[in-house]
Amino acid sequence: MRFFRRLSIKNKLIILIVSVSFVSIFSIFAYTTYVEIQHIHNELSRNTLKIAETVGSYAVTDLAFGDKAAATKTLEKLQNLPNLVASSLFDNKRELFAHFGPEINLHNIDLERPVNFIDNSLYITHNIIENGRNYGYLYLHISTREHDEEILTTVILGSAFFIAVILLSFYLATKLQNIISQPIIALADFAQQVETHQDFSQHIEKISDDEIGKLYDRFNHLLASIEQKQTQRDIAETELKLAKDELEIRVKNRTKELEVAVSELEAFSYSVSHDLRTPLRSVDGFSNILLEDYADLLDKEGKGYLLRIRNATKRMNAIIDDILLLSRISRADLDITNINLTDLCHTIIDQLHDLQENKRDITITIQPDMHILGDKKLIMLAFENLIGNAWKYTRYQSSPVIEIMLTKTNDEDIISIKDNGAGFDMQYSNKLFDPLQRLHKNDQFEGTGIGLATVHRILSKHGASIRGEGEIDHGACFWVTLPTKYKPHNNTY
Amino acid sequence: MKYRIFRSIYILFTTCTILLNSTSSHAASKEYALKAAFIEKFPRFISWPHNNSTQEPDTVFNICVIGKNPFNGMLDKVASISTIKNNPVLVKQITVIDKISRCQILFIATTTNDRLRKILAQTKGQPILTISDTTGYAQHGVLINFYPRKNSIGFEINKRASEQSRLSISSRLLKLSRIVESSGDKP
Repeated sequence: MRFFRRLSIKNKLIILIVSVSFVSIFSIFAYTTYVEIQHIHNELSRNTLKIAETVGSYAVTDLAFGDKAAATKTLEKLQNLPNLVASSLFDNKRELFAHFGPEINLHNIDLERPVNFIDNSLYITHNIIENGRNYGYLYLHISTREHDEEILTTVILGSAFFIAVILLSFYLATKLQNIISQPIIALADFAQQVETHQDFSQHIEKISDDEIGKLYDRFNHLLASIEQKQTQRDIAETELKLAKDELEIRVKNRTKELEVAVSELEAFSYSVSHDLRTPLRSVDGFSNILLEDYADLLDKEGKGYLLRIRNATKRMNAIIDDILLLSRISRADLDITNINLTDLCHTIIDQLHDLQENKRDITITIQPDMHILGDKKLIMLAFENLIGNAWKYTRYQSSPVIEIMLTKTNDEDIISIKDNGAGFDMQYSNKLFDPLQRLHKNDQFEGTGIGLATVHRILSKHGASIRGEGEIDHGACFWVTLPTKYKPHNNTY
Repeated sequence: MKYRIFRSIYILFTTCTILLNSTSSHAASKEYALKAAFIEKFPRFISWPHNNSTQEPDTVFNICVIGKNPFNGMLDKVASISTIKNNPVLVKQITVIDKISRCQILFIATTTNDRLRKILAQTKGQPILTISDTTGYAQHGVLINFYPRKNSIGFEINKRASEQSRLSISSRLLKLSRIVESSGDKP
């Protein structure tokens, strides 16, 4: 069945037609041959039985009076019977009574079977009964060779005819299968062609009005609807592409405009900051000259004002420095490396201790072996600010504590910087990272208000985030979430 | 001693005599058994005329024997176990010639020529199957006469006499017999 399934539809049809005709013709042939053989045998045995009856009746007296010579004479009369091989008479005790013909083997004789066809021979046994008296048996051996040859000739002729008909049916099947297979093959070829060229605008011409014709119609409808859908899709795609292109152009333009604006702004702020320094230096320099050279002319109050001017100019200088730094960070490129955060934090703490005039008694816990990824210079700057803030706002604390910890998750490193300092009001937490925004008075905690803005800018550049939590007089905690993977040439703003 | 030898010779002699006698009588009895069987079988191939006013309705098939019965009971034995023409068989011994008209078969034992002529004169033209086993009787007019044949018994049929008797004898029986002519008919 597997082999049959693999055949082409052409061969399937041929095999089908030829096998059907084979089966039908063969059965007819076999049946007629069988009937013919039966008929010939019946005819032969009937005729022979009739003769046996006549001869048997003639032999009754021979048997009755035990006249073997007469019996032999009777049998001799049978010699004109065509194809007779031998004839025998048996008495009613089944003893051989008379025989005519070649020697016979008594063991092979079966008197119980009136008609027996064996190997080119017909054996007829006629039980001679007259008026209810059993006189004996007449046994005839007829050669059927002639009839068998006749049958054989019939069979050979029939077989020849049979083969001829099968060949003819094969020829016709080969010719006629086209009627059925051609449209199917044409459809298959057409479908393949459609598939290869992806051309749904084609159309197949209908050949017949049968189920295959209907299939053609369905297929054409299908193609038409695919074609329609494809056209609709193509239109939509084109529209979408146009919209996308337009959008891209617009985005590009806007970006360019924005870049121009940003760089203008940065250039402006840089030049402003830079240009502010010169007059500031003049203010500072001249107020210093006043203090040193004209100190005698000024009273105490005047000197105080001059000192205030000098402090203000110092602060302004610091602000300008920080603004310049912030704008530099915006322009800097990231150089991602593996950073030992523990070492980095220790360095910062050491620097802070060095800057302090009076030794501070402060408890600092830094988790050992903290490793993160990032730009070392910028991360250093961010942590200088964060740890510096913690250092600064714990100034008035009796027992200050700073704690730096790292928690690793699958794709993030979360670093917490916690202190028990002045804290802040959570209602202003949204302003924590805006530049020049301060939540504490300058006389209490000095600062420019640019530190956390710088931190935010650095972390944004890393694709990282920061959030802070705090409570007034109960300390603050900042969580920095850094990514553990960076795309090459990460230019996230 | 003399007495004893004499006695032995006597015993030997008598034994031989008995043996010889018994073999010859055995052969004779076998011959008549066969003849009796033949007599029983003949009617199967012979038909008697139906409208026979001289005969009573067929209730018994009579086989009559005239003269000295040679069958030694064989015929009675065969008759007792057979039916002929669907009738029981009766074997009769006939002494008076007048009574033969009742017989279907008449066996004529060897007798004097004179008596035979009388009997045949009585049966002539009657549907009586006359049978004998004496040489020449068929020529005298007996329908069937047995004669010895090699290892067997043959029979001859007087065809002319059978035709006169209105008995119809089957050709199948005739083909086994030797056909003889009446001596008187001979030219």
